[in-house]
Amino acid sequence: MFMIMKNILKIHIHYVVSFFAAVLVLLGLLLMMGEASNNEVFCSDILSARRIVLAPILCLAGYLLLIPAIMWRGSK
Amino acid sequence: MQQVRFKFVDRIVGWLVFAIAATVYCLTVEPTASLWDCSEFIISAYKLEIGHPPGAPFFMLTANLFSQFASDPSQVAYMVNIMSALLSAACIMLLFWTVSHLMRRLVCGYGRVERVQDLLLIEGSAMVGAFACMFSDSFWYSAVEAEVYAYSSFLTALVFWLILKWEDEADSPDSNRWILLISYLIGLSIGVHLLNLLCIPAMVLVYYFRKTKKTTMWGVCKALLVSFILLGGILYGLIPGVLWLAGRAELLAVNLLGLPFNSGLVGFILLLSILIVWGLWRLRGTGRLVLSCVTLILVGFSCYGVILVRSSANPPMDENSPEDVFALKRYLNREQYEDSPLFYGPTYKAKPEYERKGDFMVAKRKEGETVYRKSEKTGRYMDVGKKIEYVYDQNMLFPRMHSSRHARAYEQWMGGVKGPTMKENIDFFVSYQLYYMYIRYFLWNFVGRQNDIPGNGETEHGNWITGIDVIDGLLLGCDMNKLPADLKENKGRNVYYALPLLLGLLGIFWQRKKGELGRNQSLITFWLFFMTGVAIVLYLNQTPLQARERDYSYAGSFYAFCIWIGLGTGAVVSVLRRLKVGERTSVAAGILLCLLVPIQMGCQTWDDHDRSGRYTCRDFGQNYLESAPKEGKPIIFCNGDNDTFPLWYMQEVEGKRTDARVCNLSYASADWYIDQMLRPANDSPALPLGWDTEDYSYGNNDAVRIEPELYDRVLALYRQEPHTLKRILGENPFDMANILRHWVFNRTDGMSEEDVRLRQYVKALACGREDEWETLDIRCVPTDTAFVMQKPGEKMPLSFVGMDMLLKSDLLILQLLVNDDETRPLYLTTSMNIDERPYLKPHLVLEGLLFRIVPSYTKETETRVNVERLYENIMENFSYGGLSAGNVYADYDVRKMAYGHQHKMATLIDSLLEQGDNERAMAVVRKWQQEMPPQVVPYDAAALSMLRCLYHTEHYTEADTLARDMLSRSFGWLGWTETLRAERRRGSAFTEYQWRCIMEKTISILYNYDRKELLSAVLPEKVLK
Repeated sequence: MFMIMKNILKIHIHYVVSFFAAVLVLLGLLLMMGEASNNEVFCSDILSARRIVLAPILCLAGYLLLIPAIMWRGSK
Repeated sequence: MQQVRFKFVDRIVGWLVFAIAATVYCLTVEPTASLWDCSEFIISAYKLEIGHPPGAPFFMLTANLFSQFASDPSQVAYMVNIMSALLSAACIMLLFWTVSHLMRRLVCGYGRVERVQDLLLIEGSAMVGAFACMFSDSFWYSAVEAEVYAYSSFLTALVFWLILKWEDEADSPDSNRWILLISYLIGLSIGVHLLNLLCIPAMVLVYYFRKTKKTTMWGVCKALLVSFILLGGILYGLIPGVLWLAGRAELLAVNLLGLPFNSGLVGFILLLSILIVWGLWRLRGTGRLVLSCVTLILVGFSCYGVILVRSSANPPMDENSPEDVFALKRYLNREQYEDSPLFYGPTYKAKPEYERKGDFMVAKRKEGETVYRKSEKTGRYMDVGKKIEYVYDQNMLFPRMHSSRHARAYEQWMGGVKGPTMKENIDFFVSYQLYYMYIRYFLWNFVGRQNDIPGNGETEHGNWITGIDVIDGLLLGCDMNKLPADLKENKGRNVYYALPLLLGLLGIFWQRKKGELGRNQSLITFWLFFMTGVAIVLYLNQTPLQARERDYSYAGSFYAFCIWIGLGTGAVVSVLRRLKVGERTSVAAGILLCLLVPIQMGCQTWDDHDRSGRYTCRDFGQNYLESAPKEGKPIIFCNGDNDTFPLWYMQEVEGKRTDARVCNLSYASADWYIDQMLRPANDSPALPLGWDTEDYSYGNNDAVRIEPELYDRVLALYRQEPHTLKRILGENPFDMANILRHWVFNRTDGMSEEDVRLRQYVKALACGREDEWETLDIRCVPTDTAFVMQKPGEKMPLSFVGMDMLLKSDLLILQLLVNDDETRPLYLTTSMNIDERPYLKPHLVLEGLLFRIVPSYTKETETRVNVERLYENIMENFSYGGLSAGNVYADYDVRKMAYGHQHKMATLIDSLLEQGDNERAMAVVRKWQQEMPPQVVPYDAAALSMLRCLYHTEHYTEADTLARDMLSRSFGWLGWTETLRAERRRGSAFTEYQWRCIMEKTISILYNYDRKELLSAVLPEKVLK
């Protein structure tokens, strides 16, 4: 996938990796969403593993992935 | 020596420094949550709930990862603390590399490191600087707890180090990547703490000095100007601008097009992304670089998305509920806190200006931007009016005494204020804000610290000292030889004889003597030091009587000073070189000599930064919760940080006592908090308030006046028309239920329209304003003596005598008293200032760390005690945080909470003795001695109950020892306060009074139990002399 995007679309590798980083962050935020508590019930799903374990780890991975994306020296 | 070899050695030694720092911090880290905000941060990390403004989403994400390594919930806090420890250790490593970079430039210029002694000097001085910072007071404090300051220091150190990396590579074609990375990290750091932005000026100077061929004064000024524009641009332009645009998009989508909430925000982000991609595609060269930097800052800032998403889920902790873009903006602007004027504004004495409007005078006001609030009912954002700013009459430039709430505190600090004139204003700025709240902290770190007691200018509380008695005696105006043992043995007493300060000053001089390169470097370091120190002082504009010491805010500035301490090694070595003992010998000797400075610091600071084995925050928080019974889903009213956050921590993180509802009354004036109280949380059902949104929404019923003079008039009206009035104002006019229903909330349910109008008329009539009854919306309490009906015929009297008004939080308590069917017990923390709610005072019964609010009342001034419950709690339900180990460090806040427990124990001992239950009284004494030994928490006045009990139960030897100890400590304190210089006496009057009381009471106990021998043995030799 990396190579395909790099070679076929002729996009610099920085942008390819940045794109994946953004996807990870967005995926994390999407997984973090869901039902909410209200005046009638306390919704225990807001503390489910999907929303407070998996989702934040994906977000963090996305934000950290952007660092190598910026620092990559690339091939001239 | 090859450059490659230098890089290798430098890297290895840097990691070695990291390993040492990580070991030091991991050994001393707190094994559970810490006091103040740490509990909040741990909850926000582990369960992604929302902490206080302005939030720390990137901290949440990182700390959440660390919390995953916890084997069970009780280890979560430890793991988050470990994160702080590791980040701080990394920060020390970066300091090492920063000093070694600067030193290399000073010693070898842009050339290679050729000689072994140069390598030695570079590495040695970097080690001196790094270790000095590692062992420094303020930095270590943040390194071992779950606060954002460790993380923020790390990011500051990182971006500063990165700009130096850029300097190394500035001529290579892809050096821009360092600039891009810095932009990104600055964006991310907004999601940790704003402090990071303050190193922009120093970084711009690095850029300027590297890029310009000839540095000039004017060039430096221009560079600084650019840096301030950058700083202001990000803080006041970019971030608020983007949020403003997002707000417009949101209004368009939701209010105009009727789309769901946050759809406008999503649309805006999509549009912005498309624009950016298009821009990056079209632009080349500098334009692309600038756009990339701005984009990366925004990408970093985008971590606030986590806050929006998580707040929308309505978790139990959801401070300010920033779930839409308008609320997020208020959250980021920290609108919950008072802001302080910076350049021009009112003084503390300023009164609102009035202007004539028709027949009335009204307060002059300026209207700011429109305030929008989300309304779930209509699915729209409601315009709730403009942000109002009052116009004040007394304004001045650079106002430093600005808070009207602190009028007395300003005057006390200044010893009287006339104007405030500009001279007084500047005096206050220099003597309090600059000296007391910054320079004192700076000197704590590099000269010495008197003790860990928070100070407000007193001689015995938290001053800076040198450790040289003669100088300290002059500084403090007292005789240091007569210092009481309590102060001498305080673990927070750290003295360095000003050696780190001197070494740092030498570093500055030596750096400046190294030609243009040195002068440029010192200017860069200075701006880092200034922006993270004095600039924060200017910005915060602090008032006296801060809740705690604030040295942690300035860790960045102390970090910068440690750079100079490192460079000071160069100065020492250059002095030693003059002794002509050989190049390498003088370098080695100089380094060893300088290393003694941080080692001496570490020997002093270790004992008061070693938090291992301390579980007080966890246990004391649990004790609050355990004070309430397990049945009935109790409600606990609390007030401050340390009687709220530890309780939340126990519930949210460790899952303890989730049946109890903690309700912080200082938040209860805010609509978002009452929203949360109306929702169930964990196992605790919602508060049975029965309020509608309008009853408590922004600006409604914030305070209701108490009008005692209405009492007679209302009664008279009732006498005239009993049937009608009973129908429209309730059976009894002074029943709290009726007051809330008819006088405060103007409820209309179950009333005919005619009656509602009649009620309005009657109320206006009672107020003597019947002419305008149709337009009036009267909301008040028509008496100062009301009651709550309990069971039929049983009244709970409430007296508002001496109060002007009831706040929203009072209304909340009263509504619960009215609605309560005695199934949900109400509790109040004992740490609360009960004088703020005097009507509850006669209804309190002590049961542990909580008072229960009961219908019956007492006329005595002393609070009642439920001896059985209190005994059970103290002896069985409470834990005492590992203080029994004897070698745990109890800092001031921990001691304060421990004294809270001891005072309850003393009350219990007294009550048991009164009942003649000597056996159980002695059991409490033993528990106390075992759980909180005096070497950890020295006895205070509460221990007199222990003394009485020991004599009463005829434990004479033990009692005599205790009495002798109490007397000798009192004599120590009183003997020392005698030596204070007259003008410093007043500040210590309270301490003196406390110990005088302890002495007198001890003596009277000795008389009571006929301990004449002891008295004659102690008194003549100590007092009569």
